[in-house]
Amino acid sequence: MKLEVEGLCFSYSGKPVLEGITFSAGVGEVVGIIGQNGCGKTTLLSCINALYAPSSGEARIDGVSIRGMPKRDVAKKIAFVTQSANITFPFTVFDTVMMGRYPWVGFEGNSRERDLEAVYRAMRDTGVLDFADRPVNELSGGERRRVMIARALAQEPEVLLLDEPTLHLDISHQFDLMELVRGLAAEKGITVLIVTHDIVLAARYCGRVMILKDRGIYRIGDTEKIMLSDNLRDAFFIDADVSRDERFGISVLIVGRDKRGEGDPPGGGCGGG
Amino acid sequence: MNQKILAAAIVALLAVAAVGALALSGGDGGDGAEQKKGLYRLDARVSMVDMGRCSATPGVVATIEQIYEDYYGEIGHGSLTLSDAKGDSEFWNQYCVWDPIVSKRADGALDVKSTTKAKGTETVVVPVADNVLVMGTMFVECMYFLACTEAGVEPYSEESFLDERVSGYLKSVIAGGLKYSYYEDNDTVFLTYAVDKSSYLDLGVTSVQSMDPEKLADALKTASAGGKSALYLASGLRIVSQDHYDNNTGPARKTGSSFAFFSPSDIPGVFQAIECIGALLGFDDSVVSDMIESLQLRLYRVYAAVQEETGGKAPVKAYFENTSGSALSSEMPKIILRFLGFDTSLLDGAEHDLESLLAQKPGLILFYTNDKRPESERMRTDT
Amino acid sequence: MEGIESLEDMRRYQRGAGRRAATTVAASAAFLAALFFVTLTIGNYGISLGDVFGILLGSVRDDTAEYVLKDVRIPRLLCAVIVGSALSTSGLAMQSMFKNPMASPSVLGISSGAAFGASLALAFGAGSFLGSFAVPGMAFIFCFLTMGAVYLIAHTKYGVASVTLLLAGIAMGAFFGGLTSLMQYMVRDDVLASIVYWTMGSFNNCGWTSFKLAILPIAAGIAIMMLSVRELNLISSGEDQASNMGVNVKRLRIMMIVAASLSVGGSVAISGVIGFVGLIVPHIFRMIAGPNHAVLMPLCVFGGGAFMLLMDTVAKSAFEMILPVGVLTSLVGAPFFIYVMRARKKELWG
Repeated sequence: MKLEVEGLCFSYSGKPVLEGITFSAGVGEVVGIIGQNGCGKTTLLSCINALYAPSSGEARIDGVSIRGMPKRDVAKKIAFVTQSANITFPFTVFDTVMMGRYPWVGFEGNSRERDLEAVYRAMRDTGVLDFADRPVNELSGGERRRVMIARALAQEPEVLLLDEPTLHLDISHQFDLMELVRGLAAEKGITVLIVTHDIVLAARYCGRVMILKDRGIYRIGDTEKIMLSDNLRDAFFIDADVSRDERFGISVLIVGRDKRGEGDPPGGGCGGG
Repeated sequence: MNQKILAAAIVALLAVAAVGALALSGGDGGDGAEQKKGLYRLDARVSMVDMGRCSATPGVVATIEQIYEDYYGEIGHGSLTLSDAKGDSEFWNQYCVWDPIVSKRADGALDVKSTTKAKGTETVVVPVADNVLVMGTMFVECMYFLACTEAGVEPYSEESFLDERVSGYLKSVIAGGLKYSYYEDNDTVFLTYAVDKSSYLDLGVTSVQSMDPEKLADALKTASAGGKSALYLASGLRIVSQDHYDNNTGPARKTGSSFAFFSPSDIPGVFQAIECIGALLGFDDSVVSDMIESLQLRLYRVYAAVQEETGGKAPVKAYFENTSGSALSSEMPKIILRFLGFDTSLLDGAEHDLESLLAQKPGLILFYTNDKRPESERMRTDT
Repeated sequence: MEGIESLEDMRRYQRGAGRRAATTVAASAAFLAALFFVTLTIGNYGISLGDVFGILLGSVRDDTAEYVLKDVRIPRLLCAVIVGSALSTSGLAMQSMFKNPMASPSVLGISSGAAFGASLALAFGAGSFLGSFAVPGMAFIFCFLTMGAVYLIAHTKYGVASVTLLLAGIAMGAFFGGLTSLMQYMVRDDVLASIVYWTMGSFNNCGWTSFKLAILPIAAGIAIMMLSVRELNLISSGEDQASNMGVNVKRLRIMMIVAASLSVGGSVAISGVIGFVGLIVPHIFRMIAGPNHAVLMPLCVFGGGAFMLLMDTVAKSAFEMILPVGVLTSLVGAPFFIYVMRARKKELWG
């Protein structure tokens, strides 16, 4: 397994946020992480990336724990595209993507030529070559998101963590972006974890899905085995129709608020489909 | 951009600058003769003067004499008399003629023209005082000079500090006023020798603007206890608003004390103030006029010597720097220096860099005696 | 620009951008050098252009003119250059670290803190264990403390908010203003005057001794900042993102605070508080050359030096009265500050 997370716990100011998270993901896999607001999705990514130190448990890449690993070594293996992309200083797209090469600077076997090649590939693959000399703050939301992914790819990571990559994008760009991510995973063998609120997109593009609930993993598995009306009702208190479309794959139709589940304590109120 | 190369370039540049600096500054040692640095290059006379005696107070005469001696040398002219001074109308009209601000009333009390920025000049009726609260060194210095004249001792002489008539008088009349530590800090020894800190009614401030009326009322009440006539003396220059005025006069009115505000700003003003203070404190007219005349004569001797030294010559520039490194701009130092025949155009309140001073070539440089900057900084030899 | 399609196109683009950056930096260095020679001939002691070069080449013998040029004018100009460079680069580093284009040593109250430290050393002999470095040493210590305090006040887990940062700066400035007032209230008038001098910046007392005193801390500070340009690029787009790309944010933060303290401390120790330079210079060059620190940092070194050289020369010789340079930079800087605040309010206040 490429990425293994074992018994990971994290608390914030004494309040437990995550407890006993254990899962693994293989090469080229795209794992969707869904769950309600505040269930610790982003925190989980931050722990995997060593931005936060877990109170117990650990994440491993190729069997090596990232705890205690120098920051630059972590950044060579894991790239993290965060939600926020507010820009104070208007760097050009080229300069921005070049920043992704930081962990490799001065590393043996790296050279300016290699940096340039990596940046070129990242920009080509994400389709941002055209804006190379434009300041990032002049780009549209979708373009900017792609630049951030390009910067992450310039890190030449083995694991890519995406936090809400489709937020605020129009529907067509949402599909473009998810296509891009799935393509990258398949072609380059990158393990991708995507935190998203968009159940529809997660169902369509992720090979596996994890549902976080009550500080732990509620369900994890192949998408078609997890994306079930029952699970969605339990996790989100919604009524959803899940079907299989022959052209595109799994299709989730969110019908409305689950009336039966309303008022029930979390985790309870499980009824029939 | 290769940052390492850039960093190296900049560090190298700074290193070159540093080495160049050391080479340039150290290179002069080889010339043999010790090079004069900073203001010493001007070969100007340097005079250190007392800050307190650079304003319009009796002590200003001593400052004038001192600067004369520092620059020109011996004053001489010991044979000149007061009638010579009166005969020299140029001198007399400029420095010894004033409008009195005090006049005696039929009932024995005095009419004093009291001046404040807030109210202008008003006439107040003041009885001769038994006790004074004083906000200003000018007032106490006048009292000291008058007491010295009465006792027949030379002001600021060792003898005068130890004279019991002088110190006894000051102790009996000065009830309090200006923050006591101010006198300590400024070495106003005639006062600190005479007046005990424990019995001094300390108003705790150095300016009438920050006067606490409660404290003033309390002090005046104590000073006027037992039917004594207490007087509050201060400079009116900084009493600029109705509130300042009320804070400083209200307590006097409420405690049945009196007040008078005046502040001389030139040489005749000094005589005017001496005359007024002498009358307010009930000194004999003869003591007052003796004191004034002796100062006038001393002044005239310097005046005559200056005329002799400078006759027909272009005035020499003087430069007077305060403790923060910029030129003075207040009026009294200019009056003193003009009296001594100097050009005061450099006294403009601005900072003067070494280059401009070397270009302007002042022949006399003055500092205050309490200027604690090291000599290298004062004389700008920091090279 | 033509579209980039191949790797070759991109290589060409990178080379072009690099060349442009190098040209800009070289131009700023050349401008500084040229300005230095021009200002060499301007001063309150009249020395003709020919004499200036004659003296430098040793062909003209005029004792006083030589003294004025070599021991008065040149060290003062050099002090202006290094102080300008130090304040500009520190301003730039702070702007990036706080992710805020309004940050600068004087706006954040850091210069006031340093000046307070310097005046403690001057008035009460504090820090005498540092020997001849007591004044810059105390300036450095207080600079460090103030910047640390501003950072701690303004920093939250959500980053550094502009409003909090500027308010923290105001608070620190007011605090040290209060301490200075307290000192003014407590100490004697003569000591007080030397404190006042440190709160109003000027190069009037700068000779070779001052230059030698300040060059080391300033050079060290600038060198640290020069070597951290990549990290500064990353951190200026957010601490979390920088951390995600492998920057040791904690270490960088400490290094930048130390570097800026060295530079600002060295500057304040010889020239007092000269405001707004650290705000204006980085801003102007960011408008010209973009936000890349690999270009901006050397531009601030040369351009900051040139700016201060210009300001000091104007202050000392353009008016009938010699002005302290700090007065001039404040008169120019405060309107500029307001301009920045209005022109960039969208980014600043969201």
